[in-house]
Amino acid sequence: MALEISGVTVRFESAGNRVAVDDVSLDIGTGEVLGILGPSGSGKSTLLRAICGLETLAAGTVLWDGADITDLAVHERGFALMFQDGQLFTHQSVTQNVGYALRVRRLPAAARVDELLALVGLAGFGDRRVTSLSGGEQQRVALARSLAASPRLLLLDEPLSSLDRELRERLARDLRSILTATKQTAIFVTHDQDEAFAICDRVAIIIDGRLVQVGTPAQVRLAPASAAVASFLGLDVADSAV
Amino acid sequence: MALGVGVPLAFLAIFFLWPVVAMVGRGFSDGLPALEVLARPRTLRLIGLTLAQAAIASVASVLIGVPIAHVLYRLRFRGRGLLRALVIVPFVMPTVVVGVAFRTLLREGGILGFLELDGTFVAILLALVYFNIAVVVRTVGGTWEGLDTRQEEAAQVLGATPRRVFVTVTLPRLAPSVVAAASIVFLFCSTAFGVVLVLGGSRFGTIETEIWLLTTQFLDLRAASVLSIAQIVIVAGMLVLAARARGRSTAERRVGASHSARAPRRSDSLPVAVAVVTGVLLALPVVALVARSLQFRDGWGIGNYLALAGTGSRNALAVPVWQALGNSLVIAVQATAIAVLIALMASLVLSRRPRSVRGQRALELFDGVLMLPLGVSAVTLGFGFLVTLNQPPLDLRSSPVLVPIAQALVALPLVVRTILPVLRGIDPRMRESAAVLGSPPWRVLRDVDLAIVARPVLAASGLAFAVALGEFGATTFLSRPDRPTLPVVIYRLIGLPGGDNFGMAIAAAVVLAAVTVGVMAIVERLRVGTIGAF
Repeated sequence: MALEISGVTVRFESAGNRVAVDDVSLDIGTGEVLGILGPSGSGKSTLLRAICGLETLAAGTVLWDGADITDLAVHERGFALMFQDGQLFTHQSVTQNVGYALRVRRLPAAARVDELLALVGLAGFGDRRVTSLSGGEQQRVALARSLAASPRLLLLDEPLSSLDRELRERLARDLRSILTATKQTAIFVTHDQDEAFAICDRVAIIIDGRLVQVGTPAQVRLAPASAAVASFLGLDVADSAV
Repeated sequence: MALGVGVPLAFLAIFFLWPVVAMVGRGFSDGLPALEVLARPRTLRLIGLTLAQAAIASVASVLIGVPIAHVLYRLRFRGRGLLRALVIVPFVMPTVVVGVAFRTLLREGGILGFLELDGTFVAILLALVYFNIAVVVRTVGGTWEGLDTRQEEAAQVLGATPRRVFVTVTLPRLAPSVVAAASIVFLFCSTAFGVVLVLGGSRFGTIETEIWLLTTQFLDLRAASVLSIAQIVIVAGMLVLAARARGRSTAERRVGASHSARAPRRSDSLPVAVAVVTGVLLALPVVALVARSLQFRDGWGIGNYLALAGTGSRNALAVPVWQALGNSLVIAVQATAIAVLIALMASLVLSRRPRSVRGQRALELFDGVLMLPLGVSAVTLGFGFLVTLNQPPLDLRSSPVLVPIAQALVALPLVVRTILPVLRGIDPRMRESAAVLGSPPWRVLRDVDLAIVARPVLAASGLAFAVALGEFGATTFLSRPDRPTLPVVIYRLIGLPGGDNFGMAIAAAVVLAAVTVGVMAIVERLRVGTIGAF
């Protein structure tokens, strides 16, 4: 197993000690794309932030290749995180954004940046200002930036949600082929089941901070673990084998 | 619209541009301007001193202010609101009070007397930084609070250390506000008057104190006007820089403040240490001032305060100090009313977004004109009032309106800078929905703009009141001997030492500071973030 998390719990002290993530355990194999699927506010983004170290755990451990990285600083984990709205550095060009992780590691950037821009279909965009790009282009740049330093684990936080439907479907296909081509281990957070089923090898369903089911898209669809899962997936409860 | 542009412009034209132009024009009264004044070694030395002191003080204010902005606007802890309120206090402290407080602190026998800094260049620098840290903290903090932390997080996850995140992601996004704050501080420092006059003695000065000296002591108006022009050129340059920096900073998307603050971590220890040490140092002059005010003759007591009912030893004053306080309060109320009214009209116009490029240019120019009083020497202004408004068509010499008008001009830019960002933050669609729902334009103005800006206007009134209360540069020219304000009285008392006069000056400074702090405490309860930010 590449990543193993067990008993991960996150509490928000500023929100009356509300439990956002409640005792979640999961594993991900090398090269696997795991979807985390759940309704808005279910704690899936918080779980993602906890995995990369941006949230402090109230309980639980995070292991990578068997080594405990629960207390490792965010920047030492060798992961990458892509946000819903990209969070490109607006004061830097496309090239500078994509090459950021390489410069941080003192690695040569130029050739790799060109290669990545070609991979995401933006060859020749290097000198553009990121603010001059469309929403879809910005997300492609954000993906290229995340992939640049070949992260051990790529975390994607609803990367397609801010785009319109047609663009979303096209990018979902591209994303799947890029992740497969680079054999990238990834966690993909979304509230859109079609997106999750199209991109991910397995999906984990989170409702109210709890992990309620893990399985392949087919397993989850055919046999939802509970009425809540069935209802979230929009399946008719009477038809499914609850 | 016409009213909103016309009234402020007319006000500025009559009470600002005309006096300043008249004052400057004196320099050309006998043909060529007295340019030789610029070649005098003394002038060159003072221009150098002015620039050096403004540059050093702005850099120091930024170096101290940015870590404090981080602590007060990025970290979440108990008492943060109170500290944010306290940090603005030095900024509104009357210059004369700060001058007196620093002398008390640094003189032989004072708390920091062993440093032997009394009457040195360093003492002036310290006082200037003391005033201006708040400008940096408020300006940079306001921007910082609104920056989306996810960009930092993205960099962190990509492998950047906290230091690297700060240098490559945070700092570039803060840069426009840091530049804006630094240029405003530079501006304030290069036109500093009261504090330099009190601390500088005869050895140190600025262009501003020199203008004052040339006009009041040597009656060399031509030389003074040349210096005024030199100062205006410097100031205009800085304003252009500040406006550019401000313009760029608005390109960043802002997020709600509650999303960006977090609990302190170990990596915050450096900024926290800077903030704590600075906090103690900021409190020291006030402590020294209060302690000295309670020393009466050879013992402790409230004798200095009791003496405020009188006119001082050797009849230093024309009226008792308490009466001067009364004058100050009345005049400050009038000045506040004028400043807020004009600023509100101007801001309503400035907050519109015209479609045409020409309209946008015109608004930028209007904005710049409103900021001018920020940098034009209050001394030039005060003296300009005397030379222009004392004869027909406007004979206001005997009228008591001159002082409040001058103070209103000084406060005007600060009021605009408090109200305008709030008005600009209103989504135009909110006005459009009000109109669609059937509101005529005046009603849209009332129900949307004025309703939203009510609290900021109240807060800005408090700020204007505090600034007017402490205004010294222009007031010292304009207040009539029988109706002096408190800062003028304090300066007069320091100028005539002997007897209980110095003690009285200290006690009066404490009273003035207490009133100012009281006003600012009320203002802070309104929780308007734009106060003191540029």
